[in-house]
Amino acid sequence: MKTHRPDVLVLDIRMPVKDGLQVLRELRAEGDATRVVLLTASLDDDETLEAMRLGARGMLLKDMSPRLLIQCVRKVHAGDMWLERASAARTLQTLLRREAGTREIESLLTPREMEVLRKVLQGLRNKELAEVLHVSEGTVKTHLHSIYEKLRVDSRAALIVYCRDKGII
Amino acid sequence: MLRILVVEDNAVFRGYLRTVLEAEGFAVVDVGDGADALDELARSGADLILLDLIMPAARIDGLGLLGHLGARAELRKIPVAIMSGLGGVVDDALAPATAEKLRICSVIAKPFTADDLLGKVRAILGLPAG
Repeated sequence: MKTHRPDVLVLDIRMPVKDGLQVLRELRAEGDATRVVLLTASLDDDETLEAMRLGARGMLLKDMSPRLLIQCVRKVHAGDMWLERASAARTLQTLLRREAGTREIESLLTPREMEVLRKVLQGLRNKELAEVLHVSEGTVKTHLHSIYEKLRVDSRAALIVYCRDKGII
Repeated sequence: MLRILVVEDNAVFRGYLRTVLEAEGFAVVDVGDGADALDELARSGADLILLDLIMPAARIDGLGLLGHLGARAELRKIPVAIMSGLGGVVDDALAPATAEKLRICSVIAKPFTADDLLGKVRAILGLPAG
């Protein structure tokens, strides 16, 4: 990059040692704003989202025709984007829905209760929660009871279903 | 005086937005990072946040800042207008219920003119059209 200073960088997502997204992260951290097209075997939602957040201007599937690669590079060089719109929108929708769901729950729970909820969603049992939060199991149960009441659920399983419905998990 | 916080990583574009908004009589603070935006909001608040969604080199980018705004009760109520270079992707992605919960009042697609911007800002703040 420093030697050739390309106008457009075409980067394979999957590479040994350092993958394309890691390369892109490092470039951006250095303030490099080179336009980047990422090549991938499949469009993974998490990768699409990270690529978007890192300012990748294009994502292409590897099995697409060479003609499309040329078109993509020209479009990105001209300042446009080459993202599969439906896929990018779906990825962004998932993230925005998650933020909205989190915000809705945050408006109902205390910060401590949110902390407990996050740990429950990570799969911690009451004893583990007590250890991590440096409180007694009795205190954990009190927090959980309050969370269940405020979110109008009656069990851990129902709580997880509730959070899934809100898009948080 | 109504106060607008501009969160945009492109310094030149940020300067342009500041000039346009100040000429219309708004008090403007501009920052290039979501982390700086949170510091500024803690200091002085805002009546509106103009938020660039994609800021690749920021410590906290636009999407991250939306999450932080939600975590604090005093920040949740501030309306947000998203500035996006993702074309129609953000419009496609943003369901009305989600937009309401996140206080996203508008999506302004880049590139936009000063008139586009001011029209949206006035509408969000309930000001008469210029």
